[in-house]
This record gives sequence, structure tokens and C-alpha cells, in this order.
Amino acid sequence: MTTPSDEVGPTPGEEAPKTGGRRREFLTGLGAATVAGVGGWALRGQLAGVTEPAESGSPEPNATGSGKPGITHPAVPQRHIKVSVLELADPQPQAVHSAARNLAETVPSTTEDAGEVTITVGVDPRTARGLWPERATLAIELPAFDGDTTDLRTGGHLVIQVCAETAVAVSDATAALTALVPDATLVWERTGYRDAPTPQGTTRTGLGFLDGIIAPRTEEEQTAGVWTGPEQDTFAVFRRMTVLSDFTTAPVDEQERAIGRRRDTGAPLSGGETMSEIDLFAKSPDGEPLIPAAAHARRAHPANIGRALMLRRSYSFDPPEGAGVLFIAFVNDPQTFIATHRRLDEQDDLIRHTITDASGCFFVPGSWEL
Amino acid sequence: MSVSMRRVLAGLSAAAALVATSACGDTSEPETQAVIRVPDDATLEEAGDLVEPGGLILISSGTYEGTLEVSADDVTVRGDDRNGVVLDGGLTASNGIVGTGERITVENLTVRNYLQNGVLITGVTDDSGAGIARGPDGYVPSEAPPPVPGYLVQYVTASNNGLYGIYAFNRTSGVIQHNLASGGSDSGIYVGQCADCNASVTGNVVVRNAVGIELANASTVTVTGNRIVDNRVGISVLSNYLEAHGPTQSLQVAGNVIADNDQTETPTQASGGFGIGIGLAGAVGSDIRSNLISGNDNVGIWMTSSEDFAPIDNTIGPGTWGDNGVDIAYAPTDHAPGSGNCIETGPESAGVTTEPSGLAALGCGSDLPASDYTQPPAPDGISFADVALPDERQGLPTVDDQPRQLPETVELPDISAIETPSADLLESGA
Repeated sequence: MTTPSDEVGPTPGEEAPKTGGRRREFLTGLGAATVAGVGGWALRGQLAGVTEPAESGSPEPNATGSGKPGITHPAVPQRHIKVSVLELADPQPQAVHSAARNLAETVPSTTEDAGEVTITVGVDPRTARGLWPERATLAIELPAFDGDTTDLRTGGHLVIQVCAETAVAVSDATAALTALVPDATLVWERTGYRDAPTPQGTTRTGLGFLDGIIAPRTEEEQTAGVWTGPEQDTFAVFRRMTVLSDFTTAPVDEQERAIGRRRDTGAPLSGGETMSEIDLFAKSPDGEPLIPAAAHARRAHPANIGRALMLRRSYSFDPPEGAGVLFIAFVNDPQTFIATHRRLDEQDDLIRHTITDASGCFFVPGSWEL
Repeated sequence: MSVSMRRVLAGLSAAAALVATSACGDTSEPETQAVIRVPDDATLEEAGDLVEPGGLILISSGTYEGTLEVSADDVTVRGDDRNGVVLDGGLTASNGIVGTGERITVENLTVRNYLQNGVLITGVTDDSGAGIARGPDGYVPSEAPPPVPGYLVQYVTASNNGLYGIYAFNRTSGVIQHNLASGGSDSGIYVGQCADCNASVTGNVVVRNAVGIELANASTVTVTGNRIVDNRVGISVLSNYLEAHGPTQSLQVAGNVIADNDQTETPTQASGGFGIGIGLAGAVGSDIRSNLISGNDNVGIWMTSSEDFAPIDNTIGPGTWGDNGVDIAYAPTDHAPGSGNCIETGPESAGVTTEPSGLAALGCGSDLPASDYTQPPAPDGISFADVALPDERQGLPTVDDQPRQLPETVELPDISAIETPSADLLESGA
């Protein structure tokens, strides 16, 4: 049996990101270049020459001020994450607000090799509706889904997401933050890692497939699918999932049909290259859809539900068997996630091989003002 | 023989003319004519540019490659022999005939072996003016333009096409009649994206397609007197978000033979459908009666939800049923539950079988209990190019050189007067 880490080592000759800063700078420039056009993804050699973002609108090349930390910034997500869901001793909305705001505005000290450290804090739907009745009208708890375990961990008053380039940084920063709420109870938590980013800013998950190919990268796309309004509030969905070993040990071609993409390049089975659009209508000469009917790329495609694209990413972890996926979505309406997941419950050759044992949806305010 | 030689010669001169035209740019439009004879006056591809509004393109017997695109209004495209005029895409061209103008008629010819559609009548054009539809064209439903009125497609044989045989998209006021559509990789006949389609699909034969007749986000359509046999799915009615104007409302289906839709020598249906007479997914206000629905291996009528489109206010009336896996399955999802649906199959079909059982006895007025009916896996399909050629069918009773004038609106049939047909409806002839 192979483990995910055996499968997805860095490409020979590719620089390992030892120095997060330099790598980050390069990749952030790359991410900004995508604003100018997908052509910017094409070749690493060309992009290495990019010294400034083509048209980010930001005065600073590294754009520390653009995007929301841990959501749309940095453009290429950091290598490590820790998500902690806490229940507070005082459940009053004002108390939750005060604690959450304090956490969000704290800057834990970390070492330079931690790279960019982002803190993202969200509050539970009910509290959010109470605090921001105008801004959080769509806040809702997630319903049960088919793969949820009977002892699903859910609930909690707030979520802390810490991302950094090193595992120790997310661990230290999380510890520093949770120390600020000593009376809180931990509902669930999960650390996760992302493998070295590809030149396109994607990464391989523990399944060996690329994560992050389709994402709302432009301001227009993010306005349509991520932000609820000009305050740049959003909803964060967290799902702690295990992809069972019957999937991870299946032959690669079977896995590819379940995903709808090639495992090596990430190219859709409908043709093209890694970043090519999926063609849901493409067929083989004998009428078989090239993206199979139950492929995840088809079932999860937002066109089916007439909704905008969520910002999704996943971090890996290593359960005793199978592959661990900490799935995260940032979306301006939780119903988009719910409608998508219902389609996955109806039919999906990836999701039917998964279980989820912790889950939550939190409102992440763009500003903490009430 | 002489025909094909003329075609070759016309093709050569056309190639020369095209070179000359493109060299001049757009400064001079070619002179249009009221009647264009193909191949005498123009090649198939030239004819669409040369015909004037209200004109006629009259195609002589022969086999033609390529695509005829017609954008002028009130144009009639007519073959002089339904079985002798063959537009053949050779499995390389995308569409046989693409009509984008108002009140277009296409009649009395054969279109086959196109990678996409045999006949595409569309109300959506791209920046260059070319007709497009849903599919791999980068189409975005929220940008749906107003529908384009008027079309008549009749006495056309559309076979072995890679998407739809006859496809009306974003159009209103249409009639699709006396056609034969076979070997469609998706469906033989498709009407899609019209909030008020005002369309009649009648007297057609659809055979050996993945889906015989498909209606997606297509409201106010009547499907009457058709022979819908030996497909994987006879009729598929959908409401979805891939096209604008969902859900499909006010569909009427009457007087059809919908039988034996479990033919394996057909292209695979994209979502694995097989052995289904009528699939109703997320339909609202359908009226289905007086059909012969038999020999569909899995289910005669399957009523369900589609995404968050629930089945609402649909009626299944009397008809003739027999030898279906189950005659009627009612299986909306929990999150889009149905309401107002009723099954009134009447005393003449007392033996109708349903899932859950006993639905027919409930009639109208109470919400129906739901089953969790799902499809068993479908058998493998074959290439649309390999589906057996259909038989020849009679063409227009008379062929002249008068263009047709289509009405502003189509008078849809009154289905209450339609009787259940016998099994040999349109079995041959048409």
C-alpha cells in the first residue's frame, strides 16, 4: 500500500519551498498575474520574470493588504492549517462577538520561516443572525448529509482557522489564541497540510489529484460566489472527511472516472489541459459522456444548480486508512453548498466513498463592527 | 450522376467566389435572390447568404456535405425529394442546417452524420451571427436573449447525429411534424429554453435515439400522435439550470405510441436512463393522457424532482398500459417534494401498476406518497454513427417553388379530443 506522501513528492528538479518567503513572493506574483488572464498560468519560466503583479490594483507587489486573510489571501494558500471549533462558556451573542473579535485581531508572534500567518475567525449561524441581522440573513446550520457519521461533531460558537507555511507555526499560533479563551471547550479540531504548490498554484491532495483548479479568482467571480456584499462577509464551511481505502486503492483509471479528471495533469476527461474548462457535454463516439455521469467534476459543477462558484480548498491529513481531507468552502450563501452536496448525495463516485465526522458552517464577517 | 457532377463543378466555382469575396472584404454584399436552387445557382453553403428574406432555397436530389446557415427571415429550405436530398456531415461537420431567422421552414430532406445537430433552429447567435445553442459553445443561461418566433420543420429525416436530430432552442411558435429522427446521440427531437414555446410536436417517428423527444425548460408544448419507440428513453422532460426559463410547465402529451424504449443498439443516455417511457423531472402542470405506453422495461412514466424543481400539479390521465417494468413511478426527492399531482388512469386501466403501489386508486386531491424508485444500471451503448439507418418515409405530397408563410402563433391541438392510438401508429409510411 502506498501512502499519499509516497505518491506526491515534489517533481525532480523543482525547488522545494524551504524559504517560504521567496517562494511565497514568487507565487503571489503568479496569483496576481492570473487576474490579467489565464495565460499567466502557462509556464513557470515565463512567470519567473514577473516582478510586479500585472494589474492587481494594489500598490504593493506582495499584496499583503489585498484579499481577506485565510480566504482570498494569500493567492496561493499556505502549506499548513489548523482549524479549531470552540464552544464558549458564555453563549451570549455579545460575549461571542467580543471573544471572536479579540481572536481575529490578535497577532501571535511567530518565527520568520512561518511565512504569512493568517487568522480567520467565524461565528455560528445563530449568533451571527443575532449580531448582524442585516448581514447574516442567510446564516444557517448545515443539514445532515449521507456520509455523515452518527457521532458527527458539529455546533460550537466560533471557529479559528490558522494558516502558515510551517506546521509548528499553526500549532503555536492556535495555542496562543485558544489561551485567550480559557473557559472555552474544544468541539473539534483538525490540522492539515498541502503539498508543494504547482506552478498553477494548485496542490495535490492525499488522493494524488490536484486541488484548486477551478476557483473564483477574479473580483467578479468572488463577488458572485464568495462575498455576501461590499463588507466582504462570507460563510465558511468546514468538513472533516475521510476518503475510504476502497477509493484510494482503486485503479487510477477508475479514480479518474470518479473524479472526471486525469490524476497526473488534472486535465478534464473531456479534453484539454490542466486549466481547461470542463465540457459537460463532450462525448465519445459511442455516446458515452467523457465526464462520466457520476464523476465528481460533473456532479459538483455549479452550472447544474444555477449558482456561482464557491471558493473551495482542501488540506490533507493522514488517517490510519484512506486519505484525510479537510474540506473548506467560502461561499456567499450556504444554500449553494447544500444544493451541491445534495447532488453529491444523489450520485457521486467520489463522495460515496467518503465519511464526514465533523462539520460546520460559520459566518466570517468582513468587519467586526456591529 | 449528373447531379453529383454539377455539384462538384458548382463547388469549384463557389470556392473561387469565396476567395474573391474574402479578398474584397465586406465592401460588397452578394446580390440576394428570391429563389436559390442548389446546386444550380449556388452551393449549399452559399445558398444561406444568397437567399433574400421571404425566399426559398430549393435543393435538388444529391448528397451534400457541409452546413447550410440561414439568417434571413421567412425563408423556406426545401428538398425536392425527402429521401434523395441528403445533407451528410461525414462525421466532421457540426450541424446540417442552422436557422436563426424568424419564421423559418425546413422540409423534405435528410440530414445525417453531423457531430452535433441535424437541424438547429435557434434564437441565440454568437458575436459573428452564427447560431448557437446550449452545449460546448460557452453558452450562459443568464444571458438568454428574447426568443425568436416561428419555425416549421417537417418531412425531415434526421439520423445518426451526435447531439440532436431536430433542435429548437430559444424559439417560440413552432411546429415539428412528420419527421423521422433516429440514431440521435442525445435526442431525436429537442425543444429547449422557451418560457412560452407555443410548439407542437406531432406525427413524428423517433426511433433508436438515446432519448426520443426531449423537452428542457420548455413550457407550453404539445406532443401528440408521435411514434416513440425503441429508444432508451421515449420522452424526457427536464427542468434545469443549464438553460434559462425553468421549470418546464404546461406540457401536454397525448395520442402517442410510447413503446419498447429499451433498445440497446442505441447511444448511451448521458445520465444512464434506459427502459423509460416518459421521464418527468421537475415538471409543472403536465397533462399526460390517451397514450399507449407499453413494453418499457423499467418504467412507463417516472415522475421525479430535478435539483430544487419539484413535480407540481401534473396529471396522468387515462390511456393504455402494458408490459412496463412498472407503469408509473412517483419518486420526488425529500428536498423537492411534489404536490398537487394526480393519477387518474380511469377504469379502463384498472391493472396499472405503480410505485409506490396503489397510487392510481388515490386519484386527485391528496398528496401522493413517494417511492424511492431509481434506475438499474443501463447496458452499454453504441456510437450514434453505428445506429441502423431508418427506413425511408414519404415526403411532401407536392413540391413547388413557393416559399411558406408561417403564422405568428401556432394553434395547439385540443388534447381532450385525442384518442389512444393503436400500436401500429406510423409504423410505416408517415
